Amino acid sequence: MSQENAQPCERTEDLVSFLYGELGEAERRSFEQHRANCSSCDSEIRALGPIRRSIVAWRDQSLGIRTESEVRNSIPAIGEQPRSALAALRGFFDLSPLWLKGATALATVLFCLLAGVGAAGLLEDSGNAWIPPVAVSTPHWKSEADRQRIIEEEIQKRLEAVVAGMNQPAHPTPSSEVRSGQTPAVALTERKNYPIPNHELRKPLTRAERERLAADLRLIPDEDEDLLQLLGDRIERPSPR
Amino acid sequence: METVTSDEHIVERALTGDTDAFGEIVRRWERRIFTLTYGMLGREEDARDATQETFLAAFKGLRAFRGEAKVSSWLHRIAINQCITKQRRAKVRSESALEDEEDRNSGQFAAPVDLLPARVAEGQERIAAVRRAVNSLPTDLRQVIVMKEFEELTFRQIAEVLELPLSTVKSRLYTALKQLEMRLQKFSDRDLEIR
Repeated sequence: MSQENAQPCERTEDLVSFLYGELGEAERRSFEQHRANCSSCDSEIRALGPIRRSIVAWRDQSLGIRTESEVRNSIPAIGEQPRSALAALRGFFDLSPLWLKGATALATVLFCLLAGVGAAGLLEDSGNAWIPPVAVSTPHWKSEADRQRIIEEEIQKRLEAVVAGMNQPAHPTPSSEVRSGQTPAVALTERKNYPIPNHELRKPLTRAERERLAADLRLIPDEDEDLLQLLGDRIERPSPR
Repeated sequence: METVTSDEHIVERALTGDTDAFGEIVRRWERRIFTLTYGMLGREEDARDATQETFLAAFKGLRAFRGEAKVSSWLHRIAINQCITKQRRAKVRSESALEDEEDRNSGQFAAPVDLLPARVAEGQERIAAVRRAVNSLPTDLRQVIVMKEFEELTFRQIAEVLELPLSTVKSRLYTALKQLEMRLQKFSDRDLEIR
């Protein structure tokens, strides 16, 4: 302030503009000519130049501080991002007491063991269960089952007819229900739940009679002889009681 | 400060309910406003607070913004007011705070390898002295210095922000520089030459 009072030049505004490079080309040349003849302006420019540079040094350091802080502040921002499972686990173990670490490790091992056993069981089950559904869904299997069912129904009808002709049963049987109006399919299904007691079929057909019966039906191909035999075996099977 | 999408247009969007628009203003101006508040207050924490309060005040007063001034000028005025308010609340803190800041910051930067420790300490002392000198300036002088040296605004931009005649801005800057020169007289020209 003392120098300001000591005969300051009137062109202080131009001096400041010159100092900050905000003079136009013509104005700059004009001021430089003035400066060459004005010791006040010349000395002030020489004195204020270092002041400016010292302020800039402070500014640079301040901006450096800010940059440093921005870097520091950016670290929590990254930390807010979802941590990886490994990082979370590591953090957990860093903060947990020893007993909790041990318990967690033991629980993890047990869980892994159980999971492994369960997975193995599932694989085994799925390996067994894989084939039947495919087989069941095969159209050939269905048609074969239908064919066998029809054969069984027809044979059963004939058998019942024969048996009924020889002997009237003491109480209603599934076969009598068939005659009373049930469809054969339903009757046969029910019969599966109620095995035919041999004592009601007092006189089972012989093998020759069954073969003749089958021939009369003309439904059973030669390759199904075994099926007929199996049916006969069931009829001749001794009563569980 | 013209940009691809003008600040004024973004403010219009904010006024029509675009919630992201004001965030864009903040992103554009927070660094500049922080620079201003840091230069005005001299402490990073205070500058951060003032910057936050500036944008908070701007957001609250968004409806009052009529577009008569540029958004940049509007924000600068709010920031300067925030700084003045903050300084009034803590008048005597400047010197001790600056000392604390000086001590705290002294260890944050690695010294250039080509400088001796004595030289580094000398530079730190000089910068601290400049900071103290700037902070001891009257507010009207300090804000001009900060806007010029920290924000590197042109005289015309400063005049626009402060709503002052161009000549007044130049005059204030000249006075500020002269006062700094006087306050830093103990440092020789060699000491003030920063590398």
